Amino acid sequence: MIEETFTAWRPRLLRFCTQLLRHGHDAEEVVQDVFTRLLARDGAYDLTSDPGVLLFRLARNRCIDVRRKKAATTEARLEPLTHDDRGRADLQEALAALPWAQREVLLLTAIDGLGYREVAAILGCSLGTVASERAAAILTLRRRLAP
Amino acid sequence: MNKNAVPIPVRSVVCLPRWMMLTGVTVCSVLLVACLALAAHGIIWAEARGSRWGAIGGGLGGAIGCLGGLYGTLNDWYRRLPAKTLLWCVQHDEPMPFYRRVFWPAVVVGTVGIVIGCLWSHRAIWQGVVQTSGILAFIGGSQELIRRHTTRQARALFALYADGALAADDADAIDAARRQDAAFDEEVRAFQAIGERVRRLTSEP
Repeated sequence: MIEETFTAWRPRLLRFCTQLLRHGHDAEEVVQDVFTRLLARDGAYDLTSDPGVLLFRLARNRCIDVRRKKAATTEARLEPLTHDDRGRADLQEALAALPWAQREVLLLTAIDGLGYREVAAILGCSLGTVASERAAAILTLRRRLAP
Repeated sequence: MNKNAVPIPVRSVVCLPRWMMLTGVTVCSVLLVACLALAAHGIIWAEARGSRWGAIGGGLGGAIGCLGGLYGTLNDWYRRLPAKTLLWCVQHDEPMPFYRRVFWPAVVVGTVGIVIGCLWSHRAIWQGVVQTSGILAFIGGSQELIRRHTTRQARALFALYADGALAADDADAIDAARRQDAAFDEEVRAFQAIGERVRRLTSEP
């Protein structure tokens, strides 16, 4: 069961964590941690009904831990943008400048397979908050990306 | 985004802050009971003719007012934002001019008034300064609170609509307004375009 979940969800989790933390190595570690935890507590989590909500909730909490730890020790280190595509680089830059809450909502709602209800369950907030934060994030991106 | 997600009706997005509704309902209910008690007092116990009719009239008048307030507060639960207001709120997320100009000066004047009133208690201080600035601060503050909440609500509805997640009945009303307003249509398309760019960014390796 965990193997199937790993295959199906790992790429999406990794992309989410990479964009949220903007650090590939940390994102890898977070995803690794999530699945290690699932393995260590095999049977404690129900992966049959809606594994996405559980996995993203675990990953998001680990991302918050990593962010706190980095903030406490050193200045958060962001990976430089190496992408050739200017439009994409601008978007990543604008995304990174968003407040954390808006960024995680925007990234989660952009992931295939997660709807507003699932994102609200992951973040433990109301559906209205998810929709409002998503709109605020997109409107901010629009302003920043305007020519 | 989950394409098979069940559409979300507007009712699922909490329209009124719960604390605001609870406060409104509590205040109106307490006043309603007090007014009915006053009317009952006038009918049963008041002896002098003038005070009896005064109590009955005041009590019933107040009760009607409270019922109106209660109805208005509870009715807000079902209120829908007109589509044009929705777009306006999304585009104009900035503090109300009255709040910007009046609220903080009124708070400062009120605070200074309270301090002076404690040192030198005079009717002019309490009624002229503290009461007036309190009323102005209350109006400015509550206007801004309602504006912020409406903006949040409008943003939520706009996102649900633009993402196609809103229930059909609710989306139809916004569709109609969008067909008549090119700016609205452009705003929705721009929103969808950015959403799509972010989706592509998060779906590519």
